[in-house]
Order: sequence, then structure tokens, then C-alpha cells
Amino acid sequence: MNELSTQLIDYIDKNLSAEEHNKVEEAIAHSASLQEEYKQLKHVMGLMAEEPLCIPSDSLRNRFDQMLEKESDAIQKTEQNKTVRFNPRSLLKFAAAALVLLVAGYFVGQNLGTATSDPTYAEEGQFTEAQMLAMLDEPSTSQRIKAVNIGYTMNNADDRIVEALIETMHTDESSNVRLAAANALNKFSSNEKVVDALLHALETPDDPMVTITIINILASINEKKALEPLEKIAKSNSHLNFVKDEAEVGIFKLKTI
Amino acid sequence: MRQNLLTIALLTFLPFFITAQSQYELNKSTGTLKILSLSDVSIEGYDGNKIIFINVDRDEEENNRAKGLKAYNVGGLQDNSGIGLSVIEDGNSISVREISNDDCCGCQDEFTIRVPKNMNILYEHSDNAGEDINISNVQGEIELNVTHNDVFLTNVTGPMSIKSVHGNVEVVFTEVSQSNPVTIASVYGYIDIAIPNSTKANMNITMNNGSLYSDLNINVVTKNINKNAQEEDTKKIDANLNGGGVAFNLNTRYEDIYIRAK
Repeated sequence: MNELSTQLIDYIDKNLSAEEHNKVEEAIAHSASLQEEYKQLKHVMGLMAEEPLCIPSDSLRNRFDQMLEKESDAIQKTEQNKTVRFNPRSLLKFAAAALVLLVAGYFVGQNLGTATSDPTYAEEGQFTEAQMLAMLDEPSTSQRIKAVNIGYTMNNADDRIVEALIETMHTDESSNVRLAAANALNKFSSNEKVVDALLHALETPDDPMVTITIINILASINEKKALEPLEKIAKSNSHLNFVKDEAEVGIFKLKTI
Repeated sequence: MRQNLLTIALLTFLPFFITAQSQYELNKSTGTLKILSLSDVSIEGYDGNKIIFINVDRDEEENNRAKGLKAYNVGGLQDNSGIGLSVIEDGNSISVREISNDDCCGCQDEFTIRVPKNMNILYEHSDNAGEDINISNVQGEIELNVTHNDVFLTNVTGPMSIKSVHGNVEVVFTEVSQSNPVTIASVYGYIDIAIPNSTKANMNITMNNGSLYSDLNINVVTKNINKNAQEEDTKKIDANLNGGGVAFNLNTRYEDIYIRAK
């Protein structure tokens, strides 16, 4: 936002000096984009003005004043050098920005929704990369597993797909999905990034089944860098016994093959 | 003699324990029911619009002293249902936890939860002692993350994501939803599923030390007859049923997989 557009709110509210007022008026007359901005802002502010004013009861006001006093005391005590200014105008600017974001978010959300919940896509091979990536954000666990399956079966899976699978293995809230992602990454284990991600995941505590799946992948591709983290797991007290057993098997494979 | 008396006493009072139960209801027919720390629970779908929680073990007499008081657990949660459960509704999900500081095996109460059959179910349990988990007549999505529990699902449709470290998983489908995958994994348990003969599916099966058994006409896609299966570390079978359809991701490490016609 340049200086002029920040002055627009004050201009609409007629809070500018005569000189500034004229300056803004002239600028609006000469700039199409500023005119558009002026129109939108005026509309939003009109909507806000139409909202009925809520007048709080006296007791609420008293309680709020008390709370404000208490808070400001507390702030003064802790940050004596800082002054806190509360400017209702700036709040209006934030409110306008929030409204714009909300409206934009709604349209983006609608588009995403139609892209992913379209029931006509029955076959996994028919999905595009963008659809697969969007599906990884769906709330349904089985739908995210479906997205992982799609990534796995894609013939031309590029770095974005592999990175999305890696992130899913690290961060998905469901261990079922993290497990599926780890299994899918097995296919891309010739990629150095994948190996690094698997090694990293081995050092981060996770669901035991995810951990043993990763141990198996690293052992099957004979990744010697896994020896150190595996030895740590085999000796650790925080892992379940069967995970430690898997780590021992992995160490044995890596040392003998 | 003393032991006999004890047995007689137990047998006399057992019916009281069995019949005593209490119930809590919640008006909700959509969204996800998250069952987060219940050791012993059966979930039954039904045609209705309330979730009904039943404590099968609750003995009213025993709790007379706590009458009118609320139980708290070490997590700071309170028994807001009156039957030993914390039930918290948050938007589209309901989280259920048992309010019990008892950690001895078998001390926890047994619960039955009746749910509107289209609700989604999430069940997580990682304690050392795990009872059987029974879910029936549910058409919503089911997700289970368990360590020791055996899993029995009957009259379900999927989609589902099931993972048990030590438990067996048995699933009887009425029909198979084509919307999203069926994913089942167990390290030390077997997987046994029964599906209608006409089910359209793509099977992605991985076994390390187990075998696949089926009486269905499974069309194996990845054939590699020359490979010596014994030398393979991970045995992987890609197959389809009736021309292909929804994905079945089945994965065991030490036990077998059974896919049977219903």
C-alpha cells in the first residue's frame, strides 16, 4: 500500500486537512486503480457503518475498564520503556484487510473443494499432480492414503510429489498415513533426498510401525549410513522391544551384505 | 473351603455387577467420534441420531459416596458424562476419554457405544493391555491405531485405516465402499477379510514372512515366476478383483493374509 491508499480511509471519513484532501481527490481522479480501491473501500466502510452499533451495558463497561486498568498496570510494570498506542483507525484497516482475506479464502476454498471431492475420479491413474497434492490436505485419513497411493503409482512422479510424500511421512497427524507415505517412499529410495529423509525420520521418535518400516527400507537398499542410528535404537530404552529387534536385524543385514 | 466360599460369594453377587449399568446420550449424528483411551469398548452403529454411551460395569451402589461429585483424572479431565467418561465436543468431532486413574489390567470399565451408523470412528489405544475391539454396522470411515488389541469389524463398508502391532484384524464387509481405500496393517497378527464376490478392487498386498490365501478369483498383475520368492525380503503382490476398483492396502510382517468370499 502506498501513502495515498493509506490516506484513503481518512479521506472517506473526511479527517484530512483541506490541503491533503485536495491532494487525494486529485490523485483519485487521475488513477484508475486508486479509483477502484476507493470504490471498494467505501463499499466496505459503508457495510461496516450499516452494522447496528452494540452498546455494552454499564456493568460490562465497568468490568472492561477494570480489566483494562489492570492490564495497563501490568504492562507498565513489565515494559516501562514501551508505550502502547491503541489506534481505532488502524484497527479499521486491519478489519478491512481481514474481510478481503476472508472473501478470497472462501473462493479459494470453494475451488479446492470442487477439485478434490469430485466423485467421477474413480481410478487412481486419472489424477493430476495438483489434485494429488490437494488431497494430502483432506481431513479424511483414507483419502490422504489414497493421495499417497496415487503418488506411488504415478509414472512421472517429480520432485514435488517426492517432497510431498516426505513431508507427509514426517508430519501427517495420522500414523496410518505416515506409514503409507514411508511405504510409498520405498519406490523412490534411489533418490538421495528420500534416503536423507528416511535417516532423519529414524532419529525422530515416531509410531513403532513407521519406524520398523523405515528400518526395513534402509536395510533393503543397503544404506550403510543407517548403521549408527540403528545401533542407537538397538541400545535405547525408549523403543519397544520389537523395534529394537528389527534394528538388530537391520544391523545384521547391513554388516553382512 | 475359604476359596469355595469366595466363589459362592462371587457367583451370588456377579449378577448385580453385570446388570448395573449407566448411560449418557449426546445428540449428534455426523462428524467423527474419537475414542482415545478406552481399554474395553464395543461400538455399534444404528439408525438414530444420538450417540449413546453405556458403562456396562458401573455399579451405582459402589459410588454412593461420590454421589453428586465429579471424578477427575491426572490429565485434569473431568467426568462430565456421569458414567466415567470425559466427552468433549469440538466442532465436528467428539473426543472421549476414560476418567480412571486405575492402571492395573482389567480394572477399567467396559463400555458400549451406540453411534448413528454414518458417523466416522477413530479409536486409538497404546497401553500394554488391550482388550478386543469390536465395531459393527458402521458405514462411516473407521480409523484404528492400536498396539495390543485384536480387531473385529462386522457389517462394515469402509473406507478404513487399521493398524495393530500385535493384534489380529478380522473384517466382514457387507459391501465395499468405492470412495476411499481400505488399509490394514499388522506386524505380529494376521489379516482376515471377507468381502462379497462381486467386489471391485485393486489389491496392494505386502507380506514379509506370511502367505496369501483366498477363495476369490484374484487376478495377479505383477507376475515374476522366475524370481525365487524365498529370496525376496518383502513379498509384494499387486492384483485386482472383478476388473479393479477401490484400493485394498494389506500389509503383514509375520503372519498370513486371508481374503475370503462372503
